[in-house]
Amino acid sequence: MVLEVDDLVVRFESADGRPITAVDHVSLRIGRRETLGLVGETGCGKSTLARAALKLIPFDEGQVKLLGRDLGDLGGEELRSVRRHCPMIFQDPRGSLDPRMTVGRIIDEPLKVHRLGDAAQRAAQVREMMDLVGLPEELHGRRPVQLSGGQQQRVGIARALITRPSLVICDEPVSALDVSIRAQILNLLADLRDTLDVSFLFIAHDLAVVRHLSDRVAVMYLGRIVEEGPVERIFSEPRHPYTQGLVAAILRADNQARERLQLVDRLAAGDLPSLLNPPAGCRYNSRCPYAVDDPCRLIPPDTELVGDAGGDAAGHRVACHLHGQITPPSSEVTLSESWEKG
Amino acid sequence: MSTPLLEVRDLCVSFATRDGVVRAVDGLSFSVDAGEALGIVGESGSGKTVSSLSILRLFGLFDDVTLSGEILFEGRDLLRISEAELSRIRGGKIGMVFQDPLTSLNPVMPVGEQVAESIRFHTGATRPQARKRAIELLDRVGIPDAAKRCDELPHSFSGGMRQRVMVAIAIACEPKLLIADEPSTALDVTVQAQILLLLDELRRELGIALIMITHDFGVVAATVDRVLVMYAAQPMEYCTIEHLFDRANHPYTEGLLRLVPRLDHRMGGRLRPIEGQPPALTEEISGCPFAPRCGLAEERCHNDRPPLVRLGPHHESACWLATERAARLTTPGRPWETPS
Repeated sequence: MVLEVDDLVVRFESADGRPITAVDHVSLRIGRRETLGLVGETGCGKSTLARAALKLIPFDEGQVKLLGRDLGDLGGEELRSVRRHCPMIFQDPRGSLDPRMTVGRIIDEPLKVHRLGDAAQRAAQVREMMDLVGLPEELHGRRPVQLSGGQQQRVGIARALITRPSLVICDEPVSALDVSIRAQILNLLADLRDTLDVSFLFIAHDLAVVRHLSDRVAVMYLGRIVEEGPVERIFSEPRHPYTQGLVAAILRADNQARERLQLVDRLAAGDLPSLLNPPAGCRYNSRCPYAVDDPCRLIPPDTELVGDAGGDAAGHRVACHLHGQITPPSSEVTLSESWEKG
Repeated sequence: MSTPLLEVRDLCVSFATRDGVVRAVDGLSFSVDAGEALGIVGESGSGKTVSSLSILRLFGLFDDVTLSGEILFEGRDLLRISEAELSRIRGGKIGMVFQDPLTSLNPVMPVGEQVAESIRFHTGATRPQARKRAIELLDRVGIPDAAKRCDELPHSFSGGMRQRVMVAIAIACEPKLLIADEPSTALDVTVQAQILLLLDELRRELGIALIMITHDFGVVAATVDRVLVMYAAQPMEYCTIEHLFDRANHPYTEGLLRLVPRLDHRMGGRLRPIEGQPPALTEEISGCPFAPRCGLAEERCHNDRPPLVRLGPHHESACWLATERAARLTTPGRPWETPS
């Protein structure tokens, strides 16, 4: 395992001193060369989870093992050397690049910081990496502001991969890009996943984006993982009403688009509750069309395995009291119908 | 034939900047009938937003703008009326909803008052009348407990609720036309669905015409009747939403449609992106602006700007190959779905 997170809890304090549990007893695993897509809406705790997994922010309970090392005991130089293997790629490519540095220096910097190789070796590696991520050599001396958004994100990717990491955390890496450029970057990431010995934690607010890259998908809601499983299962047989809503919310260009919006409106009604005052019981009960008082509004659901444990559904788990009883109505079936044919 | 509610004829908009003249809209014509919904689709810099801002002349104080063409709204050319006359139309007969509700709302004014302000300005209603109407509107757009919450400031509302407030302001004076510029883009996906549904419902209920500006074909599929696709300041294709799904003609439209998520694509399959970058708008473009990225481009595509070719009553495509391509697609098909 590259990353093992067990029962992780991260708490913050609001401005007026009230406690906020941003990550609430979350467990997940990422194997070698595996890509996990982590999906959820604003404030669900996905970015906090990723940062706590690198101990960039402290966590309050639970255990994180990165590359087999327990981060709980690590600090200083040791922690830094583990993190070298786990860089991040950010949403805003321009904001995450130093505007005063040239492309070559930006990509070279992690090698310098971690004292890997002499100047000549590093220069060769930078050239090789630029080629790998599709940056023409003449951009070597340019500054970020002279690049397009897509090129800036390629620089961010090159900088992350230059130290030959084991795990790359991508936090909404394509959200700020135009559709035609977004596809180029997603393809690049897919190529890198296929050719390099690297795992990805791919964070997004939109299921459509993680679909092309992930082996498994985890869906977060208000600090908890509500469903997790192999990517094809999450799309063809979503069990949690929230996941069903997110699948329906993928905007597609066909003549059922309006019906799907109505479906989303029903499966994920109303607004996200505040983390300061999350609903009791199942945290999704305030938006769930199926919720009943007992047990949904009383007892938090356990995470249960669903489907055939050995087959395609391996590791498909869901945290919903009613997951066995919810049968999606016909319009919901159309969500997976076209998929079956594919 | 009755005259359309809005008719834009050969609109050109350019900005003088430090880096030269930026041509933001270059030869755009379209019309919207009363009660009809038109989508303008394009990527960043395609000119979709500038064309809508031009309708209400919403430019920055220091923008050095040159406008030409005609924008006829109920028969009057909005480019040629005075600022005072235009301010009666803005927020009155034409309402607008922008992408980011937090920067569009006044942070230090209660939301109810912001709705009421527009009502008082345009209708001359008294304060109590306007307040009562504002509460009704906030309730209509789905603000729970509107009578109480109308006295709160924008920051105490969620992103989705703020956008509902924006919608309430936009429809406050019973507009004939609503311009929505990426109204759901900054919102979470489940909230996005709610806002799009709300706009669709209000349009049908109140008979408002809608211009939906977006980068996302999924959004237009759910909300509009006709679509205009823009690229590099120019119109590329103009068609009904049914034509868009079945016989998109322009290679750019086709390229974008390939990138709309589809659940029957094989998992982990490669996307087929449009290679290359859009041109800089300061460049002089002689041919088709899409030619450098188009797999089908011929010599004439690089040299001469293609005309908008009429393919049917509601279908035009700015491509030298338009007629040829349309003939190939007489049987409805979905060319972008064939596996690579």
